Amino acid sequence: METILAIKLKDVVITLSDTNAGRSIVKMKDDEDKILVLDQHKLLLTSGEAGDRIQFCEYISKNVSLYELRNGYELTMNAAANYIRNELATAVRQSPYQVNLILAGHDSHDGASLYFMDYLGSMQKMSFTCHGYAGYFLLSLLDKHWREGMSIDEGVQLLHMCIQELKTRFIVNTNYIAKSVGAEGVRVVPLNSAA
Amino acid sequence: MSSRYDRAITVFSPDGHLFQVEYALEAVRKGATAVGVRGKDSIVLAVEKKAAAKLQDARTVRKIVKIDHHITLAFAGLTADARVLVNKARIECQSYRLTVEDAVSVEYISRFIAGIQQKYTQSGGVRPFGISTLIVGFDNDGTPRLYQTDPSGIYSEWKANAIGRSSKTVHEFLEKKYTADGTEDDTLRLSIRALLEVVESGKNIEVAVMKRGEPMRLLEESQIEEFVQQIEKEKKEEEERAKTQRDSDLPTRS
Repeated sequence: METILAIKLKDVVITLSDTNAGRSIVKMKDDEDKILVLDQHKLLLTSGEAGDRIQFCEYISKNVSLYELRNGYELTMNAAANYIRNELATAVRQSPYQVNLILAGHDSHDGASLYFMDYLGSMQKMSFTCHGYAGYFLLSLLDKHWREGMSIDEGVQLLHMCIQELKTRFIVNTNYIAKSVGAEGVRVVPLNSAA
Repeated sequence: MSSRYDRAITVFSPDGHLFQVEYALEAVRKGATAVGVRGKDSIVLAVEKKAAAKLQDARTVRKIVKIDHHITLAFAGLTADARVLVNKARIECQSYRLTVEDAVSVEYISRFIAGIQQKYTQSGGVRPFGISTLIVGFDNDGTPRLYQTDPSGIYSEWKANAIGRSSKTVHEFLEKKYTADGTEDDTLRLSIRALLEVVESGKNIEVAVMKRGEPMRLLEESQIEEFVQQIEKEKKEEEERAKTQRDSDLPTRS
């Protein structure tokens, strides 16, 4: 089960995902980017069934683009989250998309925000969240160390703490990729240098 | 109920005309003028802005629209018809991206729009779209392209073209003055000058320019005004030159 997590800082959301792509006991790829850039101010992190993930992500991504072209401006975070949730909920009683998602982004209305969604169509606006086995290890860590209005440096430090915890106690050994999204857009956060 | 087909409205006349299509072209000829010019690295669309009513918000009347990040469209004719076609084109662009993970080529989307316009000349219970469109953009390999479609469903590529009111005049002007591989400045100047032939003043013009790899950019009024002044100067100089040429051609008394 893939690790995806997101943390809300002051005006920025920082996100992390593992870069492992494998089937059963085989590691096929260790540089897979699972953090989709939905538009200039939104990131979509997905974990779950391989085909469903890509299919659902691309479908959402193209519809978000269409909205922007039709109306001349991007969807707000709240609107995008509810749209995605609606798609999941409509499908769940027919042929569910087996994807768990985190939508992270920034808009002028709410500032930085992040939404947890799962394949059953549930949704919750959160300050930090994770999907997958990572939750067992990281939620308590985040509970302890997260504060309202952290700076980006503190956020990166927290991310490194999370990665260290997973490296220590989680059986799956993998690399990670991190991206941040704020008012100025999306940026890749370099992880190699210790914060 | 379902066995009763809608009666066809666009039918042939005895001498081979599709009158509904020709009437649609008439509707286009009444629409505000639009000009498109293709340069070496840029393409310009210039449209005549109909004077907005005092109480109307002019910003909501847009004649140059984005179809995709790299494709822009301008039209002449019935605005409401254009809205429908533009919406279909936008969906098609995203659908294409979803299926083949590539951006549409300008030719593809022009063919698609023309195809819809043709379908409406051969379907029951509908009338043709009353618009011609100018579609501009850059293909994946970076080539700039300008296409035109019309109510009959024809589409073709152009180096420069004009549609709508007085398009013939503008067209003749473009044929005279167009040079291949123009710079961005040349292309802007040519399109604005072409449009100035038929509009009242520079204040009634909206200009959009597309450059390779960049989103469509609308010119500010001040920038358009700058070009208009340059053009006025140019025209004056040309007139002076023509006058002195005429004078020197006169026979002198010896």
